[in-house]
Amino acid sequence: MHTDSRTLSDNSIIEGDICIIGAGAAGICIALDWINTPFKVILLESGGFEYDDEVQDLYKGKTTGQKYFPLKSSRLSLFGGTTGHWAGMCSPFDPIDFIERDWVPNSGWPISRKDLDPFYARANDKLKLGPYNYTLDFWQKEVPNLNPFPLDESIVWHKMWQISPAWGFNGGLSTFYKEDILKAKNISLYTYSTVVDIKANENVTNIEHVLAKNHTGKSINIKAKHFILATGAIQNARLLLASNKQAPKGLGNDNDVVGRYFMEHLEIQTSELWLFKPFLTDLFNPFFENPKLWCELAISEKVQIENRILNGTAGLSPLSTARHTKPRIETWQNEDPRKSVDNLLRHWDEAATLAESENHGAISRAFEFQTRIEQAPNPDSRVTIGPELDELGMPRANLHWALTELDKRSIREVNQIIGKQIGRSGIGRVKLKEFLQDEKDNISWPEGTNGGWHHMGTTRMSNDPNKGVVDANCQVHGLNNLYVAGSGCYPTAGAPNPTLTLVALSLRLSDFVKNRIS
Amino acid sequence: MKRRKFLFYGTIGMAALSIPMSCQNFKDVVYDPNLAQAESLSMIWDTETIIEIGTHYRKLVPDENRERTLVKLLEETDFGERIKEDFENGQTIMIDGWILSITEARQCALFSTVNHQ
Repeated sequence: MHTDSRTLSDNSIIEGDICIIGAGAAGICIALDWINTPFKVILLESGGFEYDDEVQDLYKGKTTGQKYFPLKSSRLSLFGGTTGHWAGMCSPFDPIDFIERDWVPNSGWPISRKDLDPFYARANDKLKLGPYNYTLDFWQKEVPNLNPFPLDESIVWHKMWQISPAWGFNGGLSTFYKEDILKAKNISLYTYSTVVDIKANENVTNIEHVLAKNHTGKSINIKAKHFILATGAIQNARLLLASNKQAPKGLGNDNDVVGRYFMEHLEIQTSELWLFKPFLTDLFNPFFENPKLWCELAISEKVQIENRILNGTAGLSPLSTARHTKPRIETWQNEDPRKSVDNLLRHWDEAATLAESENHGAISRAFEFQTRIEQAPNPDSRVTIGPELDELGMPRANLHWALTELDKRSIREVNQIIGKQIGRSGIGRVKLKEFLQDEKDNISWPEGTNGGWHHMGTTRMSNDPNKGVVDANCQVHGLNNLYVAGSGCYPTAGAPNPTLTLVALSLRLSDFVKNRIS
Repeated sequence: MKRRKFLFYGTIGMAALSIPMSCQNFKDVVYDPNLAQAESLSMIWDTETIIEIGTHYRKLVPDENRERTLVKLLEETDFGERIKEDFENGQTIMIDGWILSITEARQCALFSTVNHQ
C-alpha cells in the first residue's frame, strides 16, 4: 500500500508494529523480509518515486578536510535510495575484516564473518545475484576464459565480485521491488515523509514516535513498537544528533560516538601494469563489457598481518583510456546528482574516444590499477550537525573527512606487494604513481583522491557503549526499540563495496527484531 | 737541472702522463654485450627509458656506478632465473616508481654507462 504523505492531513498519526525509516537498499530489503508476516510495517521514504530536487536539497551540507563529493549529490533521496546510482558491485567482506587487528586502532567487529554468512546468502537473493559463491574456481566452471594471472595466491589472490542487475543503469532496487512493496498487504509505504525528529519516553529508554515532515508544511507522527533507521550512514547520524531535545548530545550519543569514525573506501589510481606479452583472459574485461562479474587483485590475510596494512584490492582498466580519465572527485562536483552523473559518463566517453587512436603497441598491453582500500577508523573523521537548518527545520549534516598515515602507507604497500608478485610471475612490471614513490611521505594525498560514495562507520557496532552506537544486534545502546540498519554500523570498512554486506547485516537485524516482536 | 734529476723527474713526468692512459686501457672493459640487454624490459620500454632508469640506479647505488663493477655483478648469470629469484627473495628496487629486480636494474645501469643521453 502506498500513500503520498503530502495528501494527508496535518498532524496525522500513523501506527504500526515496526517503522522502517528509509527505503534504500537496507530499508527495502528489510521490508521485503516482513511481507506475509502478521505485523504491520510502516516504511517511510523522504522522497517519491522520481527524483525531486526540492527533497534532494535536504541532503545539502558542508564538507571539510579531505576534498569530498558534494553531500547533496553523493546520495539519492527517493524510493530505492542510492541504488539509483549504484554500480551493482557485490562481494563479501573477508574474515580478516571482522577481527581486531592490533595495528588498526578501533578495529574488530562484535560478530564474525561466519555469523554473517547465512545472511550473505539471503542478501545475494535480494540483490538478484547468482549463487552465493565468490571463488574464482567456481566461476571458472561457469564462465569460459577466466584465466587468472599466474600469481602466488598465498600472497596476492583474485577476489571476485558479482554485479547486480539492480544497478543504477536499470533503475536500482526500485525497478525490481516497487510492485512487491506496493502490493504487500502488511506494508504501508509513505513517500514524502522525511523524519526530522525522534521522540523518546521520559526516561529516554524507549522510542514512542517519530516526527516526519514534507514541503507542504504538514507533519506526520508515526508510532510503532520498533523503529529501524535505514537512511544511510550520514543521514542516520544526522537524525540521531538532531534528536536532541531529550538527550542534549543527541539520541544514542551519551558517549560522543554518533557521527564519528566516518569511513569511505579510498578509490585511487595508484599504479600501472605493463605486460610483456598479451595475456589472454576475460577476467579483467572492462567493466561495462561484462556486467556480471568483476575481479580485483587482493592481498592475503597472512601478508596483511605481516606487513601491518589495511585491506585493499586493485582493479584494472586499460591504461590508454585511464590516462585521459580525470578522477571522479573532479568530475563529480555538481550538487545536482543528475548533472554529476552526466558529467562523469560524458567524460568517460570522451576518454574512451581519445584512447582509441593510442591503443597500439606496448600500451595496448598496459593497465592502470585503481586501488580500493578501507580507511582506518578515525574518530576525527566525522559527521556533525551545524547551525544551518534545511527547509524542514532540521540541522544540516556536515562532513569532515580525515585520513591517516596508515591509509597511505597501506596503499603504497598493497601496490608494492602486487608489483613484486607480478614481477615474480614474469608477466610484466608495475610502476607506482608519483604520489606513492616517496616512502617517507604518508601524509600528503594527490588531487585525485576519490571516495567510492561508500558511507560507513557513523553508528558503529560495539558491545561497549563507550566505543559504539549500536550493539552486536544493531540495537542502539540504551534504547530498547531503536535500531540502525546499514553500513553506518560498520566498525571497519573492509576492502569491497559495502552494499552486499549492509543488506546481509540488515537481514540479520530483521531476524532479530522479528524474534523480539514475536 | 742536472741530467740525472731531469731523467728522474722526467721519468716521473712520463709516468704521470702515462698512468691516465693506462687507466684508459682499464676502462675498456670487455664483456658480452647481452649483459646489458634487459630483454623483458625492452618489450615495454624504449632505449631512452632504459638509460634513464639505469642512470637513476647508479645514483641510488653509487657503489655500483662503474661499468667494471656492474659487469662483475652480472657475469655468468642466467638472467631469467636470477630475475625470478630476485623477486622471490625480495631483491627488488623501486626506481621512478618501477618495481624491478636488482639484476635487471643493474642491466639498465650497465647499458646506461655506455649509452649516455
